[in-house]
Parts: sequence; C-alpha cells; structure tokens
Amino acid sequence: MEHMTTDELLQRWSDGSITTDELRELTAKLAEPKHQSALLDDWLLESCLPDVLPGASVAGFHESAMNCRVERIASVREKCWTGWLTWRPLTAAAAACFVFLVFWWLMQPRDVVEVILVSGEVSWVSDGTKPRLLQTGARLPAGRFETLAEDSLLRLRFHDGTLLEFSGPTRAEVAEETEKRVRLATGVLTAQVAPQPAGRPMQVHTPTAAIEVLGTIFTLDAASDEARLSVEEGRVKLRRLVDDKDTEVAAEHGVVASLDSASSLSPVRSVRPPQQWSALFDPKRERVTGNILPAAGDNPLHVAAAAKLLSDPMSERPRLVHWRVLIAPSRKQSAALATLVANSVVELRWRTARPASGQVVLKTFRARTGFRGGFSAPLDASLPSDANGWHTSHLPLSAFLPLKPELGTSPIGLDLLAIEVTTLAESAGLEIAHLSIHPGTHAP
Amino acid sequence: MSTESHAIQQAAAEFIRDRHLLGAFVTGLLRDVHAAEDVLQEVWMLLSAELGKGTGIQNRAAWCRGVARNLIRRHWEKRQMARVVADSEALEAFMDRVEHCFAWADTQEHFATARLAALDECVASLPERSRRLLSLKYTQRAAMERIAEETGQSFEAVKKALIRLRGALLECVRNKLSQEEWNT
Repeated sequence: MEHMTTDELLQRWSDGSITTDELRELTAKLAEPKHQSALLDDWLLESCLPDVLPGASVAGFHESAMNCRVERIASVREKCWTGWLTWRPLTAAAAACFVFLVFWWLMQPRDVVEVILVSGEVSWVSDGTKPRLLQTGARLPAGRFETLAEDSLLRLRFHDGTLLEFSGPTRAEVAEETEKRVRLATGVLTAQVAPQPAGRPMQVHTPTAAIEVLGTIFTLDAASDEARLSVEEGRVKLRRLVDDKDTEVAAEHGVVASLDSASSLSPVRSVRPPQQWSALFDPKRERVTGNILPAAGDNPLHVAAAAKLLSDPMSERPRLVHWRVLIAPSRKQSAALATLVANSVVELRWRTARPASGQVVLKTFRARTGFRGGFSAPLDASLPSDANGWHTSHLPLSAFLPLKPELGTSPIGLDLLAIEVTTLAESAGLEIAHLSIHPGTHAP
Repeated sequence: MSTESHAIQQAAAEFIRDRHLLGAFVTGLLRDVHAAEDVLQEVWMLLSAELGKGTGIQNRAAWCRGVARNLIRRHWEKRQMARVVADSEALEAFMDRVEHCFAWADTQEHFATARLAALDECVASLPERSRRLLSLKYTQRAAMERIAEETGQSFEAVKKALIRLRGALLECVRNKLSQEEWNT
C-alpha cells in the first residue's frame, strides 16, 4: 500500500473517501504527538475559520463580476485619457468625474428587499459589512441572516410585491439578480410570489430540494435532511437533489423531498389537521423538547422541562436560559398538531417543584395569509392539586392573549404548529403529565 | 437567582467559550456542519438537563465529547453514509485516538484561543480574493459547484485553491505559534 502523509489522510477522512486500511494507518499515526497536533490544527482550522472571516453575503458572489466591469471601464478611460488631455482638458476632467460617478454607482449595493415586519432580534449581513439588527422599514441589499428564537419572524418584500415570511429558527440568504433567489438552509418560509417574468422564475434552494416559482403561495419547511413543500395556490416545480427527480405540485397539495431517493415524490392532497389532539410524549411520533420520564408509582409518564439556551447573535454571551416543554409534530407527521376552533380548550396536567409563574404558548400558523404568531395564557398555581402535586388546567382560547398583537389578535381558525409550556429565567422543576386540545362543551 | 440556575448560566458561558474545541471534535468527525450544529445543540440540552438534576460532572469537556460521540455514532447508523462504518472496530479505534488528542488539548492552556488569534492574523494577511473564496466555503458553506460558478473558475481550480489556502493557513498558524513560543 502506498503510504500517505497525515495531511493527505486527514483530507481523505474529511472528504469521506478514506478506506478502512487508510483509517487504520491514520489511527496508528495519531499515536505520535506531531500527528496529533496535525489533526488538532486541521480540525480547529475548520471550526475557527467562520469566526475570523469577514461576513460575506450573496451579493459578494458577484463582486468579481462587478470588479471586471469596473476594470473594463477603467481600461477604456486609460486609452482615451491621453488624447483628451492634449486638446480638451475640461471635457477630460468632466469625463473623469462621470466615470468616477459611474464607478461609485456601480459599487453601491442595490436594495433588493424591504423589511415589512420583524419580530425578535434578527441580524442581517450584507457584503463585507458587520451584522446589523433589522428594523421595520429598512431597505436591504442581498444578504443573509440567522434567527435562533422559536418565535422570531421576518417578513420581507421585493420591489414587485413578492412577500417572503421566515418564521422560527431560520438560516437563509436572499438575493435578486436576473431572478429572485432564496437559499433556505433551515427554517420555515411562506412566500406569496407575484407573477415572475417569463424564463426567470424565483429560485428557492434547500439542502435537499430546489424549487422554481412563477407566481403562487406556498410554504416550505427546510431542514438539512428534508424539505416539506405545501402549495396553497398556483403550481410549483420541485427537484429533489439526491436523484434529480422532479415533480409539479398543484394547489392544495404537498410533497416531501428527503435524502432518501426511494421515498415517494408524488404530491399528496393537503389535509387540514384535526380539531382534537393529545400529546403522546413519544419522540417517534412527535418532537418533544424536555426530558421524558417513565411512569413510576403514582406518577404517570411525564416530561420535565429542559433549559433552552438562546445565544445572542451579536455577542458570545447567552441571552437567556428558560425552561420549557415543547411538543411539535414529528417531521414524518403532518405540518400541524391541530386546527384551533372557537370552542377549543387546552387541557394540561402540570406541577412545579417550587412556586413560579408559568405560561402556555400556542404557536400558530395560517399558510394562506402567511400569518404566524404566538398566543399565551398564564398557568394558575392557585388551582387545587392532587397528592402528588399535579394541577389540572382547562384553558379556553379566550384565555390566550397574542404575544404580538400586530400579527393578529385571535388564534381561532389557525393551525397549531407547536405548544410550549414554560417557566422563565429560573428552573421551577416544571413537569407536564398531560397535554391535549379538544372542542369544549361551553360557549366560546 | 437560584444556585441551580447560576450553575446553568455558568455552564452556558463555558460551553460557548469552549465551543471551538468541541466544535472541532464534532465537525471533524461528522464532516457535516449542519449535522454538527444539531449535535452541539443536543449536547448542550443534555448537559443542561444533567446539571439541572444536580449531577456533578468532573470533566465537563470529556463528558461533552462522550455524549457527542454517541450522538455522532447514532447519526452515522441512521444515515449509513460513512464508508468506514462497515468496520466499526477501525472507526472506534480512530475515535478513541481522536478523543486522546482532544483530551491532551484540554490540558494545554489557551490551546484554541491561541490558534484562533493566530488564524485571525493569518487570514487578515491574505489577499481579498482568497478571503472571499474562504468566506464562500466556510462562512456561507456554499457547495464547490456553486463556488466555481460564482467565482468563474473551474471546479478543479477551486478545489485546488482551497486545499492550497488551507495548507498555507495551517503553515502560517504553526509559524506564528512557534514564533510566540520562542518569544516567551
């Protein structure tokens, strides 16, 4: 076997082409300190590089082309300059000013989108600039952003009226050159796309799918391993990246593009979620944030709240640690847990180890309008409890107030994306034993 | 603030401070930055849950790597994507050795921060074109095909340029560190 250097073996490991024999060879080499250092230096480089590089953006991709244009204009200026100087200095000076202004104008980043609504802290990075916190009304050149909070929301509008709404934890890039382009690494995008020029459909890329849009309303939920597309109006063409298969998704249909090429790529009709739902606390059936504890003695199966770190994108310090139990649909299940109707009641069984203020938050969504918002109701610790400290709360929708009234005032008619029970700031030992939604018998 | 919350806040601050070494461990083994981010978040959730229960963890860095290792193993099994997974014995031996490397790094004062500072200087000394190429690859995580398209170079040219740049940066960082050692 031809022996390779440590760097070559590390490169093979890094690009996934290493064989078992080569891996054994690398392992053997790593017994020596100098090769250990090589591995540490190599892997730390990868980990540290994003922190020391300037924040480039989508617009930055085109800077080279822009420089070429500027260089071409510069070379024309160079050829003409000498002749003009000899017989018409004023004209030459005016032309130089004009060329300078053209340079300056060409180098200015063009505004691509306007911020219509921003909820939570969202930092935006454009070409070579530092991250800036977004405010409603800001006009932005092409760029990228990341949001970490579950309830963050960013609504952007292109010049032609196309609306994009990103909600929840999101990592995305937005640009417009010959056509509109969105790269959605992770997050939920709801788009209301105005009719696009022929041959220049809006392009949306996720890690697993690429879609083309001519004019429609759709929702795209992207993760590293799959993309869930749901079309409300019009038609959307989706290409699955793993095998380049494509499909057209019609109105009121949806499709999932994953990394599994054997899975079906046939669109299926969208079905409204049921009005009744009960948490199973089963990670195979739903996404559960919290520590699931088995039934023991008089205590049923329940979930203990887990700490959630919300890091501040503008600094290295964690901004807040709160404690929560969150239930959301599994990625294999439907996009929502339930449909909220006028007489829906949220029922939960809960307890805390220490007195604390807590709340239930309904995270809701309506694709057609792109609305997404949270509604919260307080937990009443004065309710009677059983011998094991469990309280039972019945909360009608009227008990829930909007977290952001500007987004909407009532959860009635909306789809429930997730439900969260939380105590803020300090751990109060929150535990949840039952969580359900059902139509109540009382008048709304 | 309760003692428990204080411990979590402190752990969060330390977790973020030490993220480069743990990040290097996870990203190096996984070779997938997005999956690595998920693993790091999961490690934090499990760590905070343990601290919340009042579990005393002697060597937090090693504990985090142990948890990360299990999560990485689970990720590989789920995806069945690593060619070497077929020989789990070779993979386990490799992971043991990698753990040994990082355990040694834990004992070195300012191991990651010294490299970060040196790397910062090395990157600053690169020409703009090279920094842009690195930015596309490591900040924006663009695919090689896209970098080639955006920079107007061939796929092979971009690949070679990135390998060269990586090698040059490693060399530069090592030189700076050895220079510092010499000066001190």
